[in-house]
Amino acid sequence: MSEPAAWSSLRLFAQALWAPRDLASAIEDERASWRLPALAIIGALMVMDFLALPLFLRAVPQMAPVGLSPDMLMQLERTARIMRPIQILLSPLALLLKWAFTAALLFGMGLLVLRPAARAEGEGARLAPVKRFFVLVVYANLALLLEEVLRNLLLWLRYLLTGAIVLRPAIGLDTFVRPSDPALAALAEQVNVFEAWYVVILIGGVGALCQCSRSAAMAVVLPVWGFGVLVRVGLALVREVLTRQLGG
Amino acid sequence: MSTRRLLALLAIGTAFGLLMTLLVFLRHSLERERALGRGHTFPSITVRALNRSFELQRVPSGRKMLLVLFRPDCPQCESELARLERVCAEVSTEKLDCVAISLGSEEQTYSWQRTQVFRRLTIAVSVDPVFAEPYRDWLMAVPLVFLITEQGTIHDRRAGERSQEDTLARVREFVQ
Repeated sequence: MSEPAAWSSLRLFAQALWAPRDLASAIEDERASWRLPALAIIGALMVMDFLALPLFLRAVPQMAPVGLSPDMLMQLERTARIMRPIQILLSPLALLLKWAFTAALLFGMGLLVLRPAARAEGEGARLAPVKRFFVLVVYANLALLLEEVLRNLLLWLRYLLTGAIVLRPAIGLDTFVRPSDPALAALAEQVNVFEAWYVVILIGGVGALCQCSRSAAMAVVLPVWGFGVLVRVGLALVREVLTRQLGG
Repeated sequence: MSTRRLLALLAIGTAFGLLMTLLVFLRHSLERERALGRGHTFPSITVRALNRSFELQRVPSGRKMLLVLFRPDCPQCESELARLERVCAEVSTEKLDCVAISLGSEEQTYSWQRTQVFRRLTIAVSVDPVFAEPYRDWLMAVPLVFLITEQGTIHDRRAGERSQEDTLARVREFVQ
């Protein structure tokens, strides 16, 4: 007797977080599709961002560079009021592109590291198609969704209790160390439980999908994760350069 | 090595290479922005004034200065320079030097300035071509405006266009 679809989806979500190898079997059997987790992640993120929109707009002056004239500040607030909703509406597209790029990078690393041609020699590794990597990446992002849920919870709690608006509450290494260098600050933000969880899901999933050892799966996943971290460091640098240009 | 692996190696190598280049480039831009922040000393250079009979001048000049770094091919710079010309015209020459240093080549800047009318602003290029190198990147498509003290310290700086009233208020406060 088949189980209800909702229950089956919930089980897949739980497997993604707790048993990535079981999720990988579901992906192989084509029981797990990318659409449902993608919709859940995108929907939840958009709802949280829209709910936090008033707080974001109130925090714009504190995010503005020092020394901005009143007319520039007004212009900045006006731009934020128009651009932030557009940014939230476009975020699904950015997420889908990010996932697709991550899956393509995983596939490429798999080609390099796993040596599928050696299967005949008894090593057993095989390369999964890009589509399966994509499904795995989407499910692994459930861990990052939990990170955003926690950040939003902290944002609202702090706002309701103290009235302070901290849009990116620290939940990782940045809780203890706050480097002044923007690149190091971005790195410190990346060192947190949810990022580690995301990487563990990917390693487990890639290991099962490609039938390779954990170390081989790590060799595939870690450079791809490192690439993502470097991209975020780059974005932090761009933000810092632009802030300094605007405000000195 | 199979063709697919070679292609994967090339694609991943290119992605990582581009990202690393971008990061190095951004670091470089950030260092430049830090070096030209408020409270830092503006680098001492010699410039050739293209609309002052090509005379050589020192920057910082030892007097209060309004200094602009711009590119002749940037439309924002052109409109901001016109605004700054009007701002400088409101302040006595005894109190403030107004210099705009082009980051373009001398030939390009010379032919550009011939199409403009600047009486108060000195349009100049650095004699040392190395000076302009760090500023020639995609982030420099906006004018950078500095207020520099007699000691050569950057008192104020900003990027992009501002209203004439705002700039004039800042300049008046600076020269007082």
